[in-house]
Amino acid sequence: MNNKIVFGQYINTNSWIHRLDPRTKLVTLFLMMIGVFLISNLYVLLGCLVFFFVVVLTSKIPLIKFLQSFKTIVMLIVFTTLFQIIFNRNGNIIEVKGYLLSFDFTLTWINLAISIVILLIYFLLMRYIKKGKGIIFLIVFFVIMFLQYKLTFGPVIVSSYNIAVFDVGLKTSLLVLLRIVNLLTLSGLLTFTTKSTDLNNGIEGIFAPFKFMRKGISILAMMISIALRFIPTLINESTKILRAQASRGVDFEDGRLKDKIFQIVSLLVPMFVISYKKAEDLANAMEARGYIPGEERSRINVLKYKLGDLFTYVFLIIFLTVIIFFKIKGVI
Amino acid sequence: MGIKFSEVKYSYTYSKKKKDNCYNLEDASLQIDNNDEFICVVGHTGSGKSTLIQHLNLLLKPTFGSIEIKDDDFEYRINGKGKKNNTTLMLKGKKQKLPILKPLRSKIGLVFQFPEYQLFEETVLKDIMFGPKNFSSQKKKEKREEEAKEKAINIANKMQIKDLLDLSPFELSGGQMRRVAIAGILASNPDVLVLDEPTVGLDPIGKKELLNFLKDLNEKDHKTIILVTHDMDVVAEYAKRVIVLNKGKITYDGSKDELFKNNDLLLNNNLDYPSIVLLLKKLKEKLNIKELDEYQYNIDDAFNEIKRWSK
Amino acid sequence: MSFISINNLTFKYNRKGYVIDDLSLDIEKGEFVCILGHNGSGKSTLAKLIVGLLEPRKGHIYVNGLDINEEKDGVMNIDLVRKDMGIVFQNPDSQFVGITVKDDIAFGLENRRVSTEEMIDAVNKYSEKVGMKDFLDRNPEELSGGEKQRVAIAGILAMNTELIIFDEATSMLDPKGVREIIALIKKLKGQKTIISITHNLDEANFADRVIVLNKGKITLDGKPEDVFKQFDKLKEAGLDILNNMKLIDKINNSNIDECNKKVIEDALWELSFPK
Repeated sequence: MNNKIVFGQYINTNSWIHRLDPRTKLVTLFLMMIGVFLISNLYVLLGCLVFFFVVVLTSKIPLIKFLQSFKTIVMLIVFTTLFQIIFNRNGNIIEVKGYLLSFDFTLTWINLAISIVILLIYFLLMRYIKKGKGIIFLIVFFVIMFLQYKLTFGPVIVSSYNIAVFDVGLKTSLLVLLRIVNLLTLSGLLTFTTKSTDLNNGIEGIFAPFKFMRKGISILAMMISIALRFIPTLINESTKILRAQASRGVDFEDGRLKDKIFQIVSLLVPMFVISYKKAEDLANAMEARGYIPGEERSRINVLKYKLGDLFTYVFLIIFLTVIIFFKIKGVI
Repeated sequence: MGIKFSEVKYSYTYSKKKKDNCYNLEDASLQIDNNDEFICVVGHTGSGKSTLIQHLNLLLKPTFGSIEIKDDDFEYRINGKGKKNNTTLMLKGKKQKLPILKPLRSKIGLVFQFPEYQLFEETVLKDIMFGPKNFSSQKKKEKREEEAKEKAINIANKMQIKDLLDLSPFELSGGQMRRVAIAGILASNPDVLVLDEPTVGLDPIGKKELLNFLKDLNEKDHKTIILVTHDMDVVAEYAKRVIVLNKGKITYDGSKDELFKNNDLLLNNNLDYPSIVLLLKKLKEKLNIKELDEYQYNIDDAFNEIKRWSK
Repeated sequence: MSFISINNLTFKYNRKGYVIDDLSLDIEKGEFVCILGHNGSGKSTLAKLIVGLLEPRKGHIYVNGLDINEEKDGVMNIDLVRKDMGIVFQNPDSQFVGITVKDDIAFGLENRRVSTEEMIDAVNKYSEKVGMKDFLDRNPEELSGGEKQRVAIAGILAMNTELIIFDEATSMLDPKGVREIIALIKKLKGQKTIISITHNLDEANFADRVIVLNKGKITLDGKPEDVFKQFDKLKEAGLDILNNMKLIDKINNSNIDECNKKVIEDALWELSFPK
């Protein structure tokens, strides 16, 4: 099959971050994450975020690609933040130019009926809309809320519930939001610039000094490495199985649910059989080439620290010291 | 059954933004009308053979170009338009809202290279029944089962795998598995049988048995056989028509005789001579016989030719 | 004692009948032996027994004078003997352990704790020998079957084993791949002890010795030109004999006049086994 499957989101631009030792990247990432959690000042967090994005820019990873990787999680973040803002009722209500950010809503039979009609239209139209589903949903959501705010005559179902934005609530939710975005940026920085195999080598490298757990780690690393090796193969195989069964009339597009469930079996069994056979062949090949699980092995890919790693570690230490220092002082 | 490809292009990774898309199949035009064709599709790994045959039952749809497939009951038209494509289906003269592919797939059966891709049931019988059951037009479950069972037993008799019916498909030998897989496709009684390198991994005798069965199917039941193969000996002995693919393009479509007599064509497409032709060629050269016709495609013909010459 | 000595070897998988039935065989150092047989004749099982992936029910296998299934001072002999054996399996993809070509060639060496510098040298040297030097950083999905088998061979050459077993190594390849691998095997002939299990009769043609297995027993054993003469026994073993041989057989049994017959037969014979 000619369609190459890329695993992970690694993009090779050969920047200075790409050239760093994976161990450095792992350790730095982990400690920076902890550092970010220590900060509870919005502006400092924002500063960190800007700094991380500057680092992303120096890695020559296309910014659009980088931001696109957040796409799947963006909805989740938006909703958790909104919920936090609404439900955290500590402190005072925020006042903007003399107006309190506090709203009373009333659910009446009339606005309920209109809302249901809007929702119905929304779901019917949804089939034909490909792009911007999320935005349309938000608009619909706000329209419905607005109806409950303004259109308050007629028989009442639930009378006046209140949504208000409090200053402490807003601050904590923004804090959580910024922390999450910081974390995502950091982990994105790692996965965009490090091959999964290097990550695996890095993990093994980090645990190498701990003799008592080396055996387990080396087996684990071998397992991860084999998984990384065979995931593309198995994905290829699964498309072939799907096609082979499609030739025998398996159809996932139409058909009843009960049939579909049975048809999934027709994919799972061959997948299992093929994986098992491959595993057996692989085990034979490994044994024949003298692999004994847990036994000490040498490595062709030896990780070596370079100058860039030193600088990174120095910077990491400064970064952490500064954060801890100010944390103790109570400034951030 | 009529199949017509017009300038079909296919790319696994097509994107409008890219300027130079890489096509796995390029400008493939071909027509298959007769009911008893035996076509061998040859070419190197990566030449687009698998891509081509997966278009035959629309597992893949063209990125550009069009495919028409007609039968007594149905008529499919697919136009590739980049990422999207336009599929229309006329079923018994009526245009269908949803272009379902089941009618097509029951008439053009595709057997993948390894039987492991499709065998999954507890018994061979059930596995052979799987296809007919899916394609059945019967509403009632019992009727469907019954009909499928009848078809499965019929085909098992024909393929001489009746003894295997109660076994699990996973305890069979490689050759038996392959037979069961082919039976699973044949059970839905397709007019066209497409096979992707069915002889790989079989021993010479198993190979011969399978090919002779396909030959019978072609000659006695008038089924069109389309066989993807690397083996020029198979082409020599069985093919009526040969399609050569090279780097995604159809570089030859015609009789085997013309192909084997065209030295440049073979060389350009990196194809070998069949072993008998090669042997006779060498013999001719060694003994310096001019009048020996080396283009013989099986042992008996080769022998007769030598006999003819020596008299 | 011979390099490999197999005495009264018997093996069966559960329930089924004997796959290897009281088989004895000696193979000398440097010999190139082809083992032929139909599917299920026990030839792959024999290969797995020799490299210790299966344990015999009865009988002994000696490699370098050591019984591979015995234990001495708490060390399994097989672990010692494995240093002398390498095997290339049928399926090119599922024996590819490494994530890249380089990693895969080095896998066996890593298990032997060879130092990194030596490993890099070996990988460079042997990848060049099999013509895969430009592919060192490729992933297996980017390689053809023939290329993967070449990598597997490089991995074994790097371990510098005395014996290389090819267990139907060409049966899943396209003609180009088959040609490449057979050319490589030809190149190795004389340098290593080679056991090749194959369906490819052209490959068997240039072996020092051809062994035909049927139902777990050796039915023919000898030089290729002698073995391939025995049409009846080959047929009985479920082997389709070489086209050349079939033609010779037919001509032999025909009514072509004796003089011509001799000329043609000799010519075909010489074409089949060039000196």
